[in-house]
Amino acid sequence: MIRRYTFLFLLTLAPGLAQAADEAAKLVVPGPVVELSGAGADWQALFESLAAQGSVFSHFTENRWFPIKKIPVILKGEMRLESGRGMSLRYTEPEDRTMIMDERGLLLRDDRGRSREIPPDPRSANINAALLPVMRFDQKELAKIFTLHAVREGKVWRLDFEPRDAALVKTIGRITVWGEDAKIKQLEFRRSSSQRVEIVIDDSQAGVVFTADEQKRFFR
Amino acid sequence: MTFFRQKWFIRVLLAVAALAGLGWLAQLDFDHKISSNILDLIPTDERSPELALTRELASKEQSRVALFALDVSGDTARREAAAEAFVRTLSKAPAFNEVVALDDKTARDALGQQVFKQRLDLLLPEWLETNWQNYKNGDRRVPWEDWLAERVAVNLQTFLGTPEALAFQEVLPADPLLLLPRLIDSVQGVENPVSVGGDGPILIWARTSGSPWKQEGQEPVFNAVRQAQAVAVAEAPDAKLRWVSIGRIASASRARIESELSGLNLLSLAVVMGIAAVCLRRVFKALHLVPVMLGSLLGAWVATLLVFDRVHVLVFVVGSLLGGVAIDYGFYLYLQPPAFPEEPYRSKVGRLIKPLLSSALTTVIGFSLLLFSELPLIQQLGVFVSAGLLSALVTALLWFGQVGTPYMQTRGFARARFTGDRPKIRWLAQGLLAIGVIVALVGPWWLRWRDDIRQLEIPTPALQAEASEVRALFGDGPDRTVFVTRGSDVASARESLARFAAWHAQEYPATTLASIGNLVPTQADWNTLPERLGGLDAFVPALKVALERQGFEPGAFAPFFENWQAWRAAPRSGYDESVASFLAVLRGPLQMMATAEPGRCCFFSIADHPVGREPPGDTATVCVSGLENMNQLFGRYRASALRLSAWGLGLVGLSMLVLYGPWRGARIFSLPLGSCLFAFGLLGLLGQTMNLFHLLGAFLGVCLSHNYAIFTAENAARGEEQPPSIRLSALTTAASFGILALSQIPVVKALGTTVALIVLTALVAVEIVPLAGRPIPTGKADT
Repeated sequence: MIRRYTFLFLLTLAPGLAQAADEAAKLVVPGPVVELSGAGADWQALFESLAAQGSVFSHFTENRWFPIKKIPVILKGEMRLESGRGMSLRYTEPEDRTMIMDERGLLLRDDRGRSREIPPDPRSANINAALLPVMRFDQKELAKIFTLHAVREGKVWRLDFEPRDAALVKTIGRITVWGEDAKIKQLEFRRSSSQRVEIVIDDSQAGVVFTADEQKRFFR
Repeated sequence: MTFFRQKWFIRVLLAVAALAGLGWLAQLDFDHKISSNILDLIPTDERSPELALTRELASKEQSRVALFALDVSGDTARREAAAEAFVRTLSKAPAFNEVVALDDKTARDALGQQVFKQRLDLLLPEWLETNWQNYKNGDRRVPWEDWLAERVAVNLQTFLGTPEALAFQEVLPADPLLLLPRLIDSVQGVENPVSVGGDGPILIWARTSGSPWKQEGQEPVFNAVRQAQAVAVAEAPDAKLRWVSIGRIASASRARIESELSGLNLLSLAVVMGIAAVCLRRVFKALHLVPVMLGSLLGAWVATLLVFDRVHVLVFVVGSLLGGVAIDYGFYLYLQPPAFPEEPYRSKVGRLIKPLLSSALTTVIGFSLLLFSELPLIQQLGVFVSAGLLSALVTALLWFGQVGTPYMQTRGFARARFTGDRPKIRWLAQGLLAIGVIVALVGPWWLRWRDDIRQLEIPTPALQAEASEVRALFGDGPDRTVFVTRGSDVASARESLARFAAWHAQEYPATTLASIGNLVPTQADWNTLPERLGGLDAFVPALKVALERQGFEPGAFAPFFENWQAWRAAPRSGYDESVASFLAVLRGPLQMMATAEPGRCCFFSIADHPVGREPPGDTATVCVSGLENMNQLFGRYRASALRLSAWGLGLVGLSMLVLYGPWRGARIFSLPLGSCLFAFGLLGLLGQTMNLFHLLGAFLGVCLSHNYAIFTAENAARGEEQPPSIRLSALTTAASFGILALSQIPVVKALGTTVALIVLTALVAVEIVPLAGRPIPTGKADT
């Protein structure tokens, strides 16, 4: 149970992939398989620009679909991503909570400053290993774990990450990223039509510098 | 009696006594009689719950845990092969009862399934009672069932907006009451290794079958580990194993103590004989002192092993230095010149018996008081020293009775005297005394006291470092505190855990406290459950309506409604039975987090903060890391030893006043007392942290220096110079106890340093006090 809990926490980290926010321009169908390690020059340029964004700050809206709920649950928040320190998600609605994901695992802080630490679990190492490269757009690691489907129309593109491991498919499902130029606009974690998380990037600033106070408050 | 008859009578007597003693010792089972278990230093009827708990845990499953970290480089298949081979070999060994690789999910999954299965039995009572109390304290305008249903739906809606919600989405149809999500804070962390997967070490937890404190329990474990390591290395030649178990550390400690025991004994004997050889005219004659030391040790061993069923090996380590003390009587008898040529031995003994008996008996009285100590080690030392000194005195009196010429001359420098007729020497002596008085009066105020049970063992740095590394991989660290709550049964332990959790929430508001015990209901909540359920007949329809109102699909919760109805209809099992069936599924590391057996139940809790204040007594909870050093508790023993020492010293002082009169008695007693205060003052000014063994050393040192004071006073009363035996005796004693300062056992080192310091101070005082006053008249030397 705790393992499952740890894993599903990781699912909520997906907004970290967000680096820009505009109106989402969706491509509704996954593209053909593209080799992550040997993608064409166009794709390669996109991957490199996504990996080289530096520190990022974004506002996001998260829509969660549960099988037990008729309408999605909506959460809003701020995402901070800093190379070397990991990613911090501060949910501002409906409750103020902060979640930090880094090499040491997960840390959850509530509005009273109470922290809960979840170290990396060796039993779920494959899940950690799967999500961290996505967060960093680490092509080498991504190629080991996922099959990539990619499609683009003009400036708009869509990447679908299908885990190679069947167990990972069952737990993570498919990760889809929509973007335009070098900006990510929307993400989706989908296990089924009634079990999915959709993240819409409202705005995004790349290359930001976090103050010491922000680093203390939103990272560890 | 002619000398011839006297000689043979004594020889036969000594031979019979030695044979009887050695014969009795030879038939003993030393493995049983001599213990190296540090917990044998704690009284079996210890009244402090912390120490009693330590004793209990040391004999239970928790002490049998062994932790392994197997480092294997290379690909996953190679790592898995090495780990599998290691686990398989260890599992097959009879020395191990259970071996679990931490990436094996079986135990955890079994716990999860059991908690899910028993969630209504285990978790509903507290949930329902808490809600009932909230309802009861509210306005109660809405019927109880409707109020509860609405609250469930609202809480569920709120929960879906938390990060945790995604983790539980598959569980929620069967658990809209959120019984399981509520557990996150209260159980997460009970089994949380920090080591990551990937290329990190492979972690294996195991439980041995034999006692880790006994050699017969240790050796099979070591053999099995060696075998398992060999098969792992066969799979992956670069595989490296780090591991820790109590047995491994205890075995290493025992080996080092035994090695130190023989080393210190030999060194002590060599040094004592060396000093004697240097100071005496005929070296071989110094061999007459050996039987006195051997007789002393034999008497001490026999008496101690006769009185106590089990004696800690430390007593013999410390007691082996008794030779340095026992030789006192030999020196005094042997180095005193005859009062007149051909003085019969009986006459000499008659002349010297008063100071000999005064010093020996007062010291014995003092040490005998240690028998009233609570700490077995102190009791055993009291008997060892008392019996050893009496044996030394008897052996010395007898031995020199069968020696033709019971007198030996010292070399000139050994009896050389400074004179105080030169002002510079007098001023120097006065200055030294003044400094000594200042140190003795000021220094003790700077003393700091701290006792740590770990100081009783020889530290094994490499092994301890390895143990720390492995424990850290398993989640142990300075930012984590482990508590243990106990009770006579599950219900009382659980009640105490509830009180402890309430205290902890107040004391550490921003931290979490995880315990398997939180999965167990309190007896009070369990008992009120039927009454609370009695008012919930219409809860299901009310909940469906409330869920619909909050935007849920009521049909999605069919698993819960079915479970609820079935559970309510089923006969309810008893509290103990329900808890027992839950605890029965705990396996591997989780099993160590809770133990329940007739008359005893323990719940371990893990908090994510460094060690802080001890929980109050009514929580029946102690901090496990606090148990490791037990400063507070050993402080109590120290206070007890201090009281006994004070009584002992009081008796010694009183006996001096009785034997020598108030003025002379006070002067005699001021020497040991002043030496002790000076030694404490010096240690205080040097910033030494003191412990119980400094105190014991001081007591021993005071009794020894007390001898010198008596011998000096007796000679002075006869108009003689102080006997050279004092100088020799002090030097041999200081040397033999100084050797203890080389010990790797911190407390033994403390003992040796203190005794050596006090004895040397007393010797210096004996030498310089006459110089500081008027010039010493040239008296007779011992020629």
